[in-house]
Amino acid sequence: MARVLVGVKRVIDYAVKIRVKPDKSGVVTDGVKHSMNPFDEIAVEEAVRMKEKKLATEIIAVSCGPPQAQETLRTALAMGVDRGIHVEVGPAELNTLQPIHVSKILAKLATEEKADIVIVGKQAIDDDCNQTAQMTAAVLDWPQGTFASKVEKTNGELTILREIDGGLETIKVKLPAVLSADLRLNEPRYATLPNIMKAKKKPIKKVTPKDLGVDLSPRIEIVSVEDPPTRQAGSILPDVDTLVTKLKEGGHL
Amino acid sequence: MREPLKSCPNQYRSHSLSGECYLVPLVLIVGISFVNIIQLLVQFLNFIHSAASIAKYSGTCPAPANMRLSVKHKRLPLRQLISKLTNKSRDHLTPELEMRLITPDSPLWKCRPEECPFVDPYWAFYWPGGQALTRFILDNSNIFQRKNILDVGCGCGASSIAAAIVGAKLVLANDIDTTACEATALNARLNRTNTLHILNDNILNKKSTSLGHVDIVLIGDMFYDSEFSQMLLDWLRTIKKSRVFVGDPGRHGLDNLTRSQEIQLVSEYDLLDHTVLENNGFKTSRVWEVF
Repeated sequence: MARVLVGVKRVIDYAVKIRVKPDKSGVVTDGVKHSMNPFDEIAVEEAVRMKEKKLATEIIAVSCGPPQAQETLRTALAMGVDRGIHVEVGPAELNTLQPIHVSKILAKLATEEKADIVIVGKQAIDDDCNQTAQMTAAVLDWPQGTFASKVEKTNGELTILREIDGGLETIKVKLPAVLSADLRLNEPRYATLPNIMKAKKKPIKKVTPKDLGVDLSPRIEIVSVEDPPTRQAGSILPDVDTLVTKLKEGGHL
Repeated sequence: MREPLKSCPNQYRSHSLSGECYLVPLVLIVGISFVNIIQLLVQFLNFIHSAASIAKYSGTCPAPANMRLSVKHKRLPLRQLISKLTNKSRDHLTPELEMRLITPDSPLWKCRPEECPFVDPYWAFYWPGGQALTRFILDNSNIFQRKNILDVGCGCGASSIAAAIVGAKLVLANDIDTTACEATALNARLNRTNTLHILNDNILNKKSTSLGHVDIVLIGDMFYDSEFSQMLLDWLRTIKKSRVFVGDPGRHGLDNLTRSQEIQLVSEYDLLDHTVLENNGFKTSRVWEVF
């Protein structure tokens, strides 16, 4: 029986149209709908399924961020996580918070909480870093099963099906281990009214990176954030012959 | 000779409810006294009023806080609202009992708490802990027969109703939430139970002696909040003379207690498949006796 630590990040909702700040220092986050990173939802779902299969005894969700990160934790709690840990990160540090910091926080908490499995989403949809699982495994010196699309537990080992370029790879890792959830691992459940209600009172512990001995000084400097170039408008042609002529003119044929 | 459970001022009996049902008096309107006709008229107006207030809620979820019913003196509209927004269900561990609940096919199931016309409708769900406890009562009637029973946090009232059905001497269903008490009354009537007493009060503030003699205390799925769990445990320690049965699927508030000698596992039930799906992470529910 294992204790599972899940990382959940509060990100701008996937359906929101992203706007860049005029001074190019970042994107507009004020007054914008946020929700849990979709890949982290998959990670939470996998942990809850492990608990339902009696493979896990307890699930702890961790979120690093501003006070609103607690809302993200509440969503995780409503999905079936047992308790939450909110690592408070101020607005100044949030901009330059990187996987290097988060992985150290997760590693420290995994040790403190005696976790056997750490699961995170393969990447966050805001920065697309795809580094946290790998770095956490490195800090802890645990084996890693990244881009997992199927996880099975057999005699203290995890059999993981990974999505790799050109196919699927099956690996076995010994516990404790770090996993990252790929899109096809599962379909996350919806947090329903009764679950939200009984999750309102589940415990959330607040800690600071300082309490955990993690230095948040930036390792990168954001030089400029810009919109992607706008696509040029296309044109509608009357028939295939005109298309062929145009393509020849352009030297594409 | 021990004194039975004392009556309390705002206690009401479920069997007195039939007098307030607006359908029955409308049918029997012929041949009754003038006073009764006045009473019926008042009830009818009340019904019209409540029908109007229900109409406001007919668009499923969103209802601003100021539209939420202030409950005092509005028991009939409240009951109508409960009837309208819940479904009758036997799809649980105790199909003998039909319960009015917010079920997955109800529009409120997927709404957010702030959009729900009921404030924190804990009573609207048949929690896994309550299901196990109620199953246990129905299967072990000998423990509950001829006993004075107190159901703390009765919610939808299932455990109280079961205790009444198996032949308890006196059942006091208690909940701090007025709507829960109304739902319990409705559910009691639905299951033809008319020996239930309902107490809408915070019982944990009361000295246990003020309740008279209680043989058995029932606690169905109340350990979802650590702070409240502690209050409840402290209170349970003051009622040493009663047997205490707890139904719980494994919520965190009970963790410390399950590791101690003060509690003993009595029974464990597999939850129905859909209940497992609805109660993220729980597959079974247990009944414990607390010493």
